[in-house]
Amino acid sequence: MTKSGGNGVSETERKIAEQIPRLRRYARALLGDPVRSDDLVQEALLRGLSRSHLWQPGTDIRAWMFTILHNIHVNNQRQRYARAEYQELVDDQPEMASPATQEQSLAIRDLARALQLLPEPQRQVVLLVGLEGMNYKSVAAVLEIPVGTVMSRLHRGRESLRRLMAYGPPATASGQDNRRQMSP
Amino acid sequence: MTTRQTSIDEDEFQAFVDGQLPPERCRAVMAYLAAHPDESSRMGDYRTLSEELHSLYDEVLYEPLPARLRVDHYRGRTSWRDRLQRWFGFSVFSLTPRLVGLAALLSASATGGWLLHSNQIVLPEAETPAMSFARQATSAHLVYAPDVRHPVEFGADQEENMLLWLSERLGATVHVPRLQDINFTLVGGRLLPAEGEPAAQLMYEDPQAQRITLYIRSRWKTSNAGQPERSVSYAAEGKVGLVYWIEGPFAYALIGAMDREQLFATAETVQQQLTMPVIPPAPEQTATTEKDAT
Repeated sequence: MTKSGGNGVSETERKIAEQIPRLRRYARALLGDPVRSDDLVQEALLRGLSRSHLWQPGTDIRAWMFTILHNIHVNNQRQRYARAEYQELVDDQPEMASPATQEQSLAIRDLARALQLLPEPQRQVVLLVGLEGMNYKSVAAVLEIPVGTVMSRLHRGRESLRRLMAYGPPATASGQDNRRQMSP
Repeated sequence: MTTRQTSIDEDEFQAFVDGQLPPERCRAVMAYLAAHPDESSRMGDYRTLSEELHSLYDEVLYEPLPARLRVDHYRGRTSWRDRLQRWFGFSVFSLTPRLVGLAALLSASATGGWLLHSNQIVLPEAETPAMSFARQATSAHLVYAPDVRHPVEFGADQEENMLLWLSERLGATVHVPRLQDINFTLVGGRLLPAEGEPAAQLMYEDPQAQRITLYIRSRWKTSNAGQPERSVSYAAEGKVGLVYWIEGPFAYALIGAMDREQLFATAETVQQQLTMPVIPPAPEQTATTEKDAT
């Protein structure tokens, strides 16, 4: 019948702690680098703890923590790149990100590599939906974008990955599908 | 080309893949896909993609947390038992809607779902991998749980050896959930064959010698298109109930003579501990490191 764990850890802090493994999984997939991603999670954890009084009980603490993590990440990126470059990096690219040379089949374990080839905004959406299992509304809230943008990034991201990973039926003999031809 | 079918927009395809499409539209999408194999295989690819993301990254969930990612590192200490109890995996995956969906899915099969009799399991014609898993888990329970002399291969006293062995054979770290708080203690465990793959069975019992078993398979691949990832299902016949769920590369089943609510509560306790990394009791901290606390 322990009402609170005591030792100075509040209920909210405990709930924040519960999110850490998932934040960590997401950050690892997003950044690809274990150390940098743990750095990001640590920053999110510290900010979450310092603002735990702002979290409204009854609301989704996972979305709240993911929003914090995302904001920190955006700020970090801004510091890393000049603002203009950052915008270029973040803006959705109108076409597929994958040049033809990268369309050759990658082994399954190269999904991690394929992910890193995606424009980051697409990668974020693909991971929040496909790995974290978030609903589209929460994803929109976390990334602070409209649901319609979530949907289009999701579609483009998945389609790029599908091509990078060379899923789907093998190229037909009719030669209709020349996506798979190696560039000369 | 499509005359009767309403058109499906891309958002609906994505929502279909993610299980976020309202049921009434699911029907339309499924009808459309049945008539368009290319689109159908594209949906299959998207699903495979999500599954592979899980097999690639879910292990991060099991990695022990470095001190700098632990709340108690910054705020005093909590007992690991206390924390484990409070992990709340199920609420994240919203158990109830899925449960209804899958229960319906199971009972929708031709013979009205599958039935469990004390020693005999009747199955519908087409068995999905998940159902076959459930059947194996149940058979294993029915065979070993009543066994008085050799219920397990490794007793609880050899827990450490058992874990090493099972982890090695399953190719993944096996954790033993602690169920003392709901009055179940570990009896032990064993390795079992499951369609050419190794499976682990862990057995627990309460003070009345009532036994429950947890059945685990790793390298779980959901290939059938209809099955959502990370699903939770329930089945029962007579006194024996079974909850099974799939999480990333693992499939778990919990079997026991309990009512549904009890079984789910127990499964939740189990699942919470399995999903999250087991945090060993923190060593006595002599001084907090200032470096990380900035």
